[in-house]
Amino acid sequence: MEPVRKIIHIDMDAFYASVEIRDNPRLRGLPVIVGGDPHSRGVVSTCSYEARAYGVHSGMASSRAVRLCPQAIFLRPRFDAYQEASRIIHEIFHDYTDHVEPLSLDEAYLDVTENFHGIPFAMWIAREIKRRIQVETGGLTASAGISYNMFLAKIASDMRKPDGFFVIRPHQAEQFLEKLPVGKFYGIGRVTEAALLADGIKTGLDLKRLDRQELKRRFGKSGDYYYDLVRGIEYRQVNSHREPKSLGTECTFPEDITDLHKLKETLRMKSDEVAKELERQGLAGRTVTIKVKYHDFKVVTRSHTFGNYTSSSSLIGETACGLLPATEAGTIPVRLVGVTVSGFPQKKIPEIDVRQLEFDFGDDF
Amino acid sequence: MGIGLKNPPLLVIGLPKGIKTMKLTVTKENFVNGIKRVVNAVSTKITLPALSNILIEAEGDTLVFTASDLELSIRTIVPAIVFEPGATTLPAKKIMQIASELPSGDVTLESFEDEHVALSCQKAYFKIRSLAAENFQKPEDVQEEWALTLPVQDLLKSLSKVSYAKSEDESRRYLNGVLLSVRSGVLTFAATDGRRLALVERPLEADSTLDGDIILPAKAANELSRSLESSGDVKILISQSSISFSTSETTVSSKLVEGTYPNYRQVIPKASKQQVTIPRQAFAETLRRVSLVVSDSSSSIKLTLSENALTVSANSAEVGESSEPVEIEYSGEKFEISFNPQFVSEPLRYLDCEQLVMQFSDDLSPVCLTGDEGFLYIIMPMRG
Repeated sequence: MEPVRKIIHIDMDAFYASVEIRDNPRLRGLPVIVGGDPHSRGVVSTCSYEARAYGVHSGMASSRAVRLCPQAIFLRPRFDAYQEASRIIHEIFHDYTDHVEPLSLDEAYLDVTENFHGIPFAMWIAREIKRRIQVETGGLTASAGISYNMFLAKIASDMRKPDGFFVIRPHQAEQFLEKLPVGKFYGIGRVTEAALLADGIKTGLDLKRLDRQELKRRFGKSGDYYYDLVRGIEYRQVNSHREPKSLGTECTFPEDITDLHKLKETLRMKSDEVAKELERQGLAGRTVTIKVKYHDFKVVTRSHTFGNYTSSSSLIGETACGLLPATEAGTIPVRLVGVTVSGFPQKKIPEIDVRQLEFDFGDDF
Repeated sequence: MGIGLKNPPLLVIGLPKGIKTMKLTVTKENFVNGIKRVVNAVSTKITLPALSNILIEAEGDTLVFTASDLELSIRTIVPAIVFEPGATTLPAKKIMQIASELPSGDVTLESFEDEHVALSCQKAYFKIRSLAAENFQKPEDVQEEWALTLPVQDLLKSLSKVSYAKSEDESRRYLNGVLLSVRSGVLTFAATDGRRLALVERPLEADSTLDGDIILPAKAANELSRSLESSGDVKILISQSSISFSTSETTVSSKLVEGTYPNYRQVIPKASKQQVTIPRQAFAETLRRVSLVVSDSSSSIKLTLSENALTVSANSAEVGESSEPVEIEYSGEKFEISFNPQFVSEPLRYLDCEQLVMQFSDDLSPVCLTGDEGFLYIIMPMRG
């Protein structure tokens, strides 16, 4: 059986506004709004808790925020300062695990089931992270949520904001979820929420009363996901984008082989396995490498690099076979051949230019 | 032995017996042109032995050159006098160098069974190591599922007007290529990196019942202009996984980029509040000058619209600042918007029109540029 996972969700409190207050302590205790100019259709990025008391929230038109809270102090965002704080926070996360999935500059999931220091309790790690964030960023606070899956950890971090700390244990999960408004469930947006409310489905409990069939009718393919989710089961994994550098497979022959046809046949078979695995992992590579071990255990590799990425079984196979004449296979008996695909696209750590606006191509892109 | 080759003698196991020898004569000019058109298909990376070579086939009264990196293949025909039909392969880079240095005159090639080619031209003589044609993996012909024909010039111009906008971000592979889309008799070329979008539309002449999208890899898009002769028509054949472009002499075929192109139509603004007409040449020159003070890639330039002027300005801590107005007709409210300078200046280079039309709504919404017939360019601004 899989061990119970330990997931921490860390969410900085009023991040942009807190950075501004840290850098200008005279703003402390005042309603601070970071966002666009209220006179030119700007929107609120973040606001301090003092401003939230007036009903201001992020995403709201700045002009409306001014009407709600005329004494608010409006600041233009300083993305450099936020990125620097974000860098410090993410470095702290990576001191505990590489299973970190950043959601934005100020929010991330950590899977600490296994961690670098062998710390047995996620609570200890979460407390330490919170404390270190405060010290190392010069006073910013974060809220931490801890649970055994990502969804519950996120719900937990929201329970005691700001400077919050909250744990949802497995036996408490269902009770939490039953009370949760449907709009808080992962993936339920405003439109879906409105449709559910219209049918009198307001909470997790209402959702739980629907059978699989009904959920599938409403959510399509995600029906099963919601069926499990309201029962506290979620299989989403913390996706740290740590992708393998290469993917390959090899095979040792029961007896040494000189027949080129047999070797090529094996290479094609192995290429097909590699292609299937690439496909499964959603990867494609640019370099195909074959490895040939001769009967005397001497190993040679030969590789070919394409201009584009591929995961095509036939292309990898053709290439692998094409590389064979560049070895001494056929004259020297071979005990092992292998095929590896590498050169996956580099996932740059997104050095997001926060000022350049992007197109919105919709959900899939 | 002849010249020192970079490629070491290639080990070929079980040399096939009785390779036909080949003998032909071709003018130096045709020899060089043939090689030039195909040579860029050869991978610059370490590669399969046979694929760093060019396949040379003599048949009828033609000499056919083929080069391939298995994804992109180029094949071209030049006239030749063939005494003995046959085929062989020669190392691409070396034969390119040799061909361009030959004196003008007729080039005679003779291929021998022990894998070498004798090349003579006037008094020059080379004996070059070759590799049997059997080792060369010839590209498969593209199965025709769709076909369309258009003037080569139209294809190359359309590609140049959109190609620069494609993404360099390798994690968005489907954006690294150029989209060719046919919808109800209209052919669209489009490229986007998620921050700007360039597209060219042209009606297809024949009544077309095709409908579909393909993504042309960057390398193919770049090589077409180098390989296709610039007059006449090009026939485009498209199958599920590959595409070919054929003129009377040359065929460029390529595997397609796998993946679905984003629905780029939805980022085209349906309406804009204002529009101004800008002289293209003057605007391009001003942009070039003002951008000189911009020092790093994340800097922006600012466009300010005021009474009858579009002022381009920029500044950087390292260099200083610059500004220059371009005369236009405008009487609306003062308006400022910032852009990545490259995103504004790039399309201007490939257009022919005198006047550009810029349409905009506010400083955080996409801006449209139009000019040449069928051309549309959308840019997202930068936050100032």
